[in-house]
Amino acid sequence: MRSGLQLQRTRRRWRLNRIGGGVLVWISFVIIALYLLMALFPTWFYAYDPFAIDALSPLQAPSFKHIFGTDEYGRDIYSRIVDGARDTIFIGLGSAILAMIIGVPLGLIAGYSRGKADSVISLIVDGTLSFPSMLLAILVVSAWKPSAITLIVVIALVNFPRFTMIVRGNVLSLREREYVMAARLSGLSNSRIMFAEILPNCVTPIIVQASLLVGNAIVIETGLSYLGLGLQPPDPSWGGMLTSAQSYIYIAPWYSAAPGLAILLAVFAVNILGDYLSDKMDVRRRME
Amino acid sequence: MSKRLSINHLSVKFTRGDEQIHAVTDVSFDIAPGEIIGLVGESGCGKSVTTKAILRLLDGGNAQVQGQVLLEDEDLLALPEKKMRHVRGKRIALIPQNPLSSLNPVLTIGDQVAEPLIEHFGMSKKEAWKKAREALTKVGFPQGDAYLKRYANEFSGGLRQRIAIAMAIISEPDLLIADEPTTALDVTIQAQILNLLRRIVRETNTSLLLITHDLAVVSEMCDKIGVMYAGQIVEWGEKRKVLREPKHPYTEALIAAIPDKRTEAGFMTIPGQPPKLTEIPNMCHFADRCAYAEEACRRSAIAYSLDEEGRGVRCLKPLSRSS
Amino acid sequence: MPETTQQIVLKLEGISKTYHTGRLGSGTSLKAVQDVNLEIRRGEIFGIVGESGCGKSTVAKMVAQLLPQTSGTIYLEQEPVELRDRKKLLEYRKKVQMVFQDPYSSLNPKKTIRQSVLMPLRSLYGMSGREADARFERMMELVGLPKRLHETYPHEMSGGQLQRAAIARALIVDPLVLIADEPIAALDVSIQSQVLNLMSDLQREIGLTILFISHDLRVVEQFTDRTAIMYLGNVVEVGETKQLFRYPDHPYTRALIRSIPRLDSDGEGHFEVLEGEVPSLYNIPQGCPFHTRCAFRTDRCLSVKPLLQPVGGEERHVACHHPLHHEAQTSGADAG
Repeated sequence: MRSGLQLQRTRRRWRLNRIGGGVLVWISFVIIALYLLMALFPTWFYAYDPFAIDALSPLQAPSFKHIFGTDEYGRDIYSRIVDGARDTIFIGLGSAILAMIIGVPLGLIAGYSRGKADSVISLIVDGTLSFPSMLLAILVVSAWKPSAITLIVVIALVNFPRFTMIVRGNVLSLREREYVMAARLSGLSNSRIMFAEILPNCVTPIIVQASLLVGNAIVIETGLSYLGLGLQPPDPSWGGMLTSAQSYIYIAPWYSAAPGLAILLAVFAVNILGDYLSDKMDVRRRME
Repeated sequence: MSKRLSINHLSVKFTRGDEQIHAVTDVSFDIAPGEIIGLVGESGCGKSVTTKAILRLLDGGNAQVQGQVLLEDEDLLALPEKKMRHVRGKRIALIPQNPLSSLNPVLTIGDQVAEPLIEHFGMSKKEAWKKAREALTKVGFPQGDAYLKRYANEFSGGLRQRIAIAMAIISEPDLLIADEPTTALDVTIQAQILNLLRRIVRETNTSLLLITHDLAVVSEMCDKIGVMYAGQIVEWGEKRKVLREPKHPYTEALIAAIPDKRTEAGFMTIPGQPPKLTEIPNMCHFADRCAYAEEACRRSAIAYSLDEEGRGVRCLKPLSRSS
Repeated sequence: MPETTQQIVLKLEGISKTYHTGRLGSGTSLKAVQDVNLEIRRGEIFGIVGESGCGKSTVAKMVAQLLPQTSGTIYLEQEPVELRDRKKLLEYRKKVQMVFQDPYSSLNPKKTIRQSVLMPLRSLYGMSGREADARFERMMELVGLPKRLHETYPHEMSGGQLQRAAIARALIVDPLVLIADEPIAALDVSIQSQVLNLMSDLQREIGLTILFISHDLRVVEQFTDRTAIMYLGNVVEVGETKQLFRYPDHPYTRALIRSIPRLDSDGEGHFEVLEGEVPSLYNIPQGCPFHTRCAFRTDRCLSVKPLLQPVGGEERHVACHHPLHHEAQTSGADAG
């Protein structure tokens, strides 16, 4: 598993180098910054009230007036995307962070202590992974009211095993490193060794995984919206917009293009930045 | 004297970012049929890169190789890749340092040893297996078929190295290259493998190029030695002469530094560090650590001189026995 | 007798390590170390030699208490050590420290040299600030690491420098015993000598006791005062190093010594080759563990396991029914 990840990372770096990593990282920074600003200060970006229905101009093509066109109720798509950024980013980041908070310590404990704790945690991980994730998500969302928080919890619950597995794999090899033994000789407690000695040395795969998950979470949210289990209208989420748009895909293709593009750019930028950050965190490369 | 392999002015440079790594600089030597040559040096001295250059196993985009590698008068560096593949399988064989990673874990030993025969000589499977059995017997496996159907991980390190040697000798190559073949092995197993290698060379008239960091291994095994330092051969010659009367100060220091003797002052050391391969100075590479270095040693690159007896040295003031 | 026992700083009594694999009851057991008894004297360099799988590193880890022994007792300065108690374990850690084989992985890549070296001082003594820094500076001077390296990260340093830093980290708490597990195996020849010189200087200057684990017989011969030879988890011979190398009593010791490549060899047929491979630890031979490869075996060796016994005085102990140079005290009766 570790070597697979390594391979994946070298390939990514190769791609970054080829196309001029610097420019891509810059673009990604700008995209993420824009999205964050949209999420925090949507009013700065609104062209129109995103909820204002205009029955006279539904499904208009992009124009100077409505740069991404209007939806079936005549609402400005651009402004709705701005408004959707908040929930989408909240869900994406929130679920990645929550999954990390659940998954990483479990992986540390499983890999470091092995034995019984490892068996129990591995059972939980295998159980979660063997359960169809969409089904699990549907079950949870139908039990509670679909809200951003519910979605975050669901996506994190479905995805934390990724962190557990990656961290566990890394810890299994790191715990045999001689500096970990030296830490034990220095009398450090097990939790200090796990969090202060081992954890900093698995940040790189954790960040890569987290950046993949942010993108993935946005996609899952889209999927749940499609099934009507996402954020409820009229609150716009990108996934929800995409779902409504697909009914009009032939007469108003731009309607689905706009949220599609927003999702694409977000996933792209998060992945590039994740790669960049994990490089930066690596002492060896930082020094070079 | 006939030559089997002749290396002329071989240099290898790697480009990494905007740095150039001078891994091998102007290396020349010959190997005669049936001869055992030892290339010795510490890590980073260029000994392994030299063998990879001979086999053309260096990453083409990254490495610039200059010079000539003549195998029976054919320049390997100029061969098309397709022919080179043939040379690699058939005429030059490599015995690796770590046989576990070079043996395929999902093939049986029989299949693995027989494979090159089917591949390079177009033998039938039956013939190839028969040959494989012979080769394995030659390297000390018992008669019989039981072990041929087993997998690499079922054998100990010493037996795996024997399997790797069987694979190397099965196509009766002109030249065997062994890169630290016993470094991963225990001392009693090392002795077995070294004895086996020597026996094979004596019996088959193949040549052996042995790469090692251990002067004592060279002393047990080789006819001639090349001592490498910072990408260059600094001394070359008949084994006993080089070890008993070293001419290059580095050879002398290296022999003294083996921790098998201890003086009042402790173990002998070589002060300082080798130069960085990215910043090879245009002077004697060893000058900064050399007890005999003079002004002239730092003025320009030092030429490699070879006398009539075949003794080579890259030093302005070679040591002599009387001094 | 009381005079010699006082000198003994570390004593291993019947130390064994057994690993069980597979399910309870039905699984097999692997005897990595069997009934090792050793006495290490104050201020000496004691070597443990053997081939891979002989249990030397397992012994080192048990002495360092990175691995609990299955049975047996460790005595530090005549006191049996009760290590399940965390407080007592920490007291033990102040007195017994270790350096490892691979200098490149023995320091945390995310920490500076200063952070790594100060770690044991912080967590064992709770010492920090000026006092700790003063100690750090002194330690770095002792191991010969210049100021410019104090705040660097491990990847910027060479193997030799890293091993110096690892030695500094082990010695900063001023231990009685330093365990060195193959400390020079990963280093180049010219650097090996530097690290060995450093360790023997330290041993002389601060009266350190060193337990030196190595597979390199040439180094052990030159570097240690006394040596134990291990084979398949058993100590087969112990004695004063120079004597042991000159007159080995155990056939395995002799085979080991004769397998060493020598610089002054004539090159042809010098090696005495020991036939065969080391048996698997899952399948240790009955009787003498070495009998499958031994040229001197008799019927007795196949059935009766020889115990480590003194031969030719108190200094030399050997576990062999037919020692090469000395007559064992018990072997006379039925050796023929």
